[in-house]
Amino acid sequence: MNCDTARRHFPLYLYGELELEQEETLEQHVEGCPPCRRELERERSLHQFLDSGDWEPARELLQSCRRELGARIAAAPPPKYSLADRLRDVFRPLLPSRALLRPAGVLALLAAGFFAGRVWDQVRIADPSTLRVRDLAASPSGGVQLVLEEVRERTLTGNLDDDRIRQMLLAAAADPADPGLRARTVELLKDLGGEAEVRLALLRALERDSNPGVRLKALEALKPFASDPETRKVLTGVLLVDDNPGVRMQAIDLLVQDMQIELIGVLQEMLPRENNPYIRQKSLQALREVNASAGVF
Amino acid sequence: MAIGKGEAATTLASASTAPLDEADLVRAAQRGDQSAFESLVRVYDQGVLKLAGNLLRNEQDAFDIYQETFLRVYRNLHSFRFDCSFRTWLYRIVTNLCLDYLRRKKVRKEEPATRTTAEGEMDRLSVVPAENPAGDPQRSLLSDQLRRRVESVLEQLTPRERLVFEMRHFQGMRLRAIGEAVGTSEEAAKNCLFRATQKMRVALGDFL
Repeated sequence: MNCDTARRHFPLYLYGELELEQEETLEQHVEGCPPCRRELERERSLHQFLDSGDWEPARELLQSCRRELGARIAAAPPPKYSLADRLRDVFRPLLPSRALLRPAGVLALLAAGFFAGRVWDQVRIADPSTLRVRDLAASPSGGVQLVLEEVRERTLTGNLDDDRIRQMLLAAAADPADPGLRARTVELLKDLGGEAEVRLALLRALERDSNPGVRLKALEALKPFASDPETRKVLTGVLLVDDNPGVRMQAIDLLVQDMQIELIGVLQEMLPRENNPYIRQKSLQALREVNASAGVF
Repeated sequence: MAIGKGEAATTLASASTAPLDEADLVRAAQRGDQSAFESLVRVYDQGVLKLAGNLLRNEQDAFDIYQETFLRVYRNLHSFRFDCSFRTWLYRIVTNLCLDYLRRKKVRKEEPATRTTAEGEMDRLSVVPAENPAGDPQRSLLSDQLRRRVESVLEQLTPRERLVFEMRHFQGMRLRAIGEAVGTSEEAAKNCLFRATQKMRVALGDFL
């Protein structure tokens, strides 16, 4: 290997992208060639310098991205998993190769389309918006059998300690379609906050729900657990990143009730960018009470 | 207690989801399981945001690319056929969006690298501060100058060179995976990386 080739390989060498054999040849060359050794050191410094151009997203930005995405997805129509997609999934494992898959798949899709059309004509008498295809199978005669899922309203009555009721409520607390329902559910769950799965659902709502009304209800329900470390962790996150001042005000109230040493740094970090007078005053008062400075601003 | 980076965000996810194979997660999300989709987002979203931020050097644009990427994933996940890994598929989406953006930006009037705020002139993209910026003012000044220089050199790369460089240097992706995501061969990605590092070596020569 000559010097020119060796130097061309330096970047790939430092990124670990050379073949083992090339790597060994390069190392041998560099060992016996002081100018290339110096050049490799320069290349290494370049790599370290380039690290200074790295950018790490701030936690607040990531949180706000996630919240916005959650809201947009909640507002978006559910993605469709079409009949054609399902058919493709069904037929793929039955066929030996991609080459055979194509013509057979086309025939299968045609057959399914024909039969599905006939079936659909019948089910259209019912309300199609309440139906979806849950499964299907190709019959030997060339037809297709669809398993339809029909949505029907039904009333379920029971106590909160009934497991079925509880599971339905936990699902409703995260139902992206209806913030009003989520708020009422969270309110209903507040007496069960002592149970792990309910507490988790409340924390989840507080941290992630796009609707401030729901987050406030969750905060209310979490009041009795303000000393619990997991709850405090989420409350701290809320205090730092929630964009609703009402939610942050409730969070600071709960956090300073039980002033812990770890909170000092959080308050000091938050104060320079917090504009809400109530939160500022509460934080300053809490810091004074433990003889900590508001310091950093 | 000051919570660690991303800690609050991940606490619940880690507590509520049992470890699942990624392919299972994708299949569950394809069937409409929202929490599986959310888990997929949380595995990759920091990387996506970081790539977009590094490439576009603007928080608002990185935010927009993040939203568009995951909305496209959400809308098109049913068409994902496991012909490649989910990560490659996702990175194809984000890199295409970023490349489009960078190409459009090339023909637009360049945005200034700084903005005026109440605290004075600041970078458009706030970079994480050094461990102890007050510790050694001279060093801090030098690293600030260096960072600005690196950023200005990055601006001079072609969109494709820049993308390949960002993915290799900051995301730690292998050239083969980069080639798959960008829709090119490993060899072409290698050449791109080579050209990018060469340009940077020339431009940063006086720092070395």
